[in-house]
Amino acid sequence: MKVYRSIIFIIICFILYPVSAFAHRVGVFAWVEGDKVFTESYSNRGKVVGARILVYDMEGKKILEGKTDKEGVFVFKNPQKGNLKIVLDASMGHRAEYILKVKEEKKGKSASISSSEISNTQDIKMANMDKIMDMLSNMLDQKLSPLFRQIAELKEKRGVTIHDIIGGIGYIVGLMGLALYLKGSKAGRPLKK
Amino acid sequence: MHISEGVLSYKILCGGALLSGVSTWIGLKKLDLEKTPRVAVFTSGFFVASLIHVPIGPSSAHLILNGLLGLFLGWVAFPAILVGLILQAVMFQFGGITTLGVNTFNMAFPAVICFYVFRRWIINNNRMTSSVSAFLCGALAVMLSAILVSISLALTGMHFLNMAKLIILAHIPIMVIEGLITAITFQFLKRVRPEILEVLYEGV
Repeated sequence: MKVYRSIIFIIICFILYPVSAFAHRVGVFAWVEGDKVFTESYSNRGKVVGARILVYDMEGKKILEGKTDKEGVFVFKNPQKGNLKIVLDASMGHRAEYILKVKEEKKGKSASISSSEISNTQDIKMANMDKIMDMLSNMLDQKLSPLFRQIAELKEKRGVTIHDIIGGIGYIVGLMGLALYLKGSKAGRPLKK
Repeated sequence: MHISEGVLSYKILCGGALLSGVSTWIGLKKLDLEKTPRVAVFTSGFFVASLIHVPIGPSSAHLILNGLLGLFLGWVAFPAILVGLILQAVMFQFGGITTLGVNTFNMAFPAVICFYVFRRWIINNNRMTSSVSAFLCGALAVMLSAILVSISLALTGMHFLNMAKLIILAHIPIMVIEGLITAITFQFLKRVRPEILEVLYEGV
């Protein structure tokens, strides 16, 4: 009997121990930095290494694909096709996707400026303004990218908490109660002697 | 083992949902008042087992315990596993809501098969025979699940043999661990609560 008790004790310890380390949920998130798009893939175990990343446009057409490196990161040049759908395919039926919202570039405006002859100071000022704006936005992208990353991580990386587990078991107990109640009343008498 | 959303085609999702639906109905028919609390306990076990996780090389796999559920519940493993999977999908984002049918079938059907294949040896009075068959029940249920997962993925156009090899190899340690857990749990419950094994004697 003692042997069995210690075995059960070990099993219980085993069950309770690795609450923070579990698997089988993968995720991917992405952010824009300059003209590049960074993607980072993770599972609950950490980074996803060597998994396929597929990039689609919003019409579902595949633009490019690649593999994550040993940090789980895959970087590609922004194809400038508006919003992107980034799909992580981590084999064995594990898959995740992320919609990356990309700002449309103001192509029309800058093109018209570069093509037209800059003849007066007004236009020069405008052109300078545009340059400054571009630089500013690049700088902001760089400064803010760690923040974007952290927000994305916070949004995606919520692990399993003890509350989830207790809540789930609570649901099961509730379902049991419901089943007992339904079966009990089907038998035609209330649950008392 | 948990197939994510967006991997399988609609046909397979519908097929899985149909098969699981029918089997769950059979399971619910076999569920009676006295069994219900026991089923809830095993469902809780299944629900939590997925959090236990065994690292294997670069990848990792977690416990499933479907063989254990099959051994003690028979057909009722279907509703139990369905409930467990719904909660895992909602709370841990394991698998997904659309793939519930396929995932339930992949895990619960091997449980039922192993129950019917091994029960005549499991109720054997020889301790060795019953332990070994309980071990095999736990281990083979995982293996069959791995094969079913590979088939589901292969039907969507992935290469079956490569897939099956990868998934089965990743789950070999899980098979051993689950076999041991099933055998130990069986011997323990047989001693302390022999009435729990009545399901094994039904209709033999």
